[in-house]
Amino acid sequence: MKNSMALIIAAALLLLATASIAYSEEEAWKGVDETVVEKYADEHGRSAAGSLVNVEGDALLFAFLMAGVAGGFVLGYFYRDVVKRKPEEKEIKNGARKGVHAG
Amino acid sequence: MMRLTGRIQVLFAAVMLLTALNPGAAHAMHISEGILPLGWAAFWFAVSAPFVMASLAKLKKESFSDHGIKPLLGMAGAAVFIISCMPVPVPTAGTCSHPAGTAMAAILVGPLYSILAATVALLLQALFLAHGGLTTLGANVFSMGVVGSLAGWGVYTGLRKMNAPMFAAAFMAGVAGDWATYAVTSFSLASALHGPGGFMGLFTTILVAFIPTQLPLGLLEGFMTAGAVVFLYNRRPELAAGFAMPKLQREDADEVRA
Repeated sequence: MKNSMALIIAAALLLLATASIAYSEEEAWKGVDETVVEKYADEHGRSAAGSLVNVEGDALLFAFLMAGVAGGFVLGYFYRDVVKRKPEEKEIKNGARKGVHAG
Repeated sequence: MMRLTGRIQVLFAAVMLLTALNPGAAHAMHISEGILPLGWAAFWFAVSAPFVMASLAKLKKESFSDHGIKPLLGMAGAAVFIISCMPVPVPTAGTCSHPAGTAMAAILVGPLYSILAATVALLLQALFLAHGGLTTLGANVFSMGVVGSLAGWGVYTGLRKMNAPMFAAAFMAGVAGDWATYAVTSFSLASALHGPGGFMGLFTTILVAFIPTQLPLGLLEGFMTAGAVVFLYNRRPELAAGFAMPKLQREDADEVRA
């Protein structure tokens, strides 16, 4: 328990220390691709190029929304296959005794 | 126990719903198009290729014999795709980043299939979502797919063999998969970009810059992984206990029934 508490406190201190170094008002809510990856790449003479299919502005929001919907649909579709649970023998017996269908 | 399982189910469903409907912009951790010089891009393709080939060979071999793998693989692939393009705001850092999802997939379908799922997800994101890039695909597959999957799977199987509870093992696997992914991203960037300042200096700088965002996000990924694994396991112990561990699978099934 003491070890866990020490670990949590150490992690919190590390988080606060590094956050105070890294945080900047101008960079609020930007992704780490911009604040870290592209920042250090720029400093070392490399910059991000446009993607093959260049989607910009609200079209990118639309693309992300569609990706989320399509991904969510596929996830749900296969989830149904994976999780459809066969009723256990005990449940079937209980259901039969009560006169209801189990499953 | 029933109440805890119910809460986990509600939490998992909420996370999945938010993920599916999330319309965030491309704020990500994948290495963007054009960041890596051509030689380094080719190097990371060469490093990742054997793992992807091995996973394709496994899929070809097993898809004929084990029909049960297909829905679970489809579900894990979709989960990796949407989790790895979900920007999560981290209030302590004021930035956004995303979990990887590969540790969870590795626990559910094994590390090779998880690598395949990550490769397909990263390819689609690079092509249609301006998220990552085609030239940096090899490096991103290696960090998120290969290292994220192997770290998560290794930690999970190791802890389970030491009789750790499933929730704790999956939590640690999620944390390890996330943090290992970002450590390797730092390594890829530093090895390609370091100048006269030296590799270690840039590696440490990038790694420290990731910490404010990834430290809490790794913990979130741990909880998400643990919730998903326990939830699926309670529903289908014979599937969710992991194909690579038939002995553990039986023990886990007995544990759940008890």
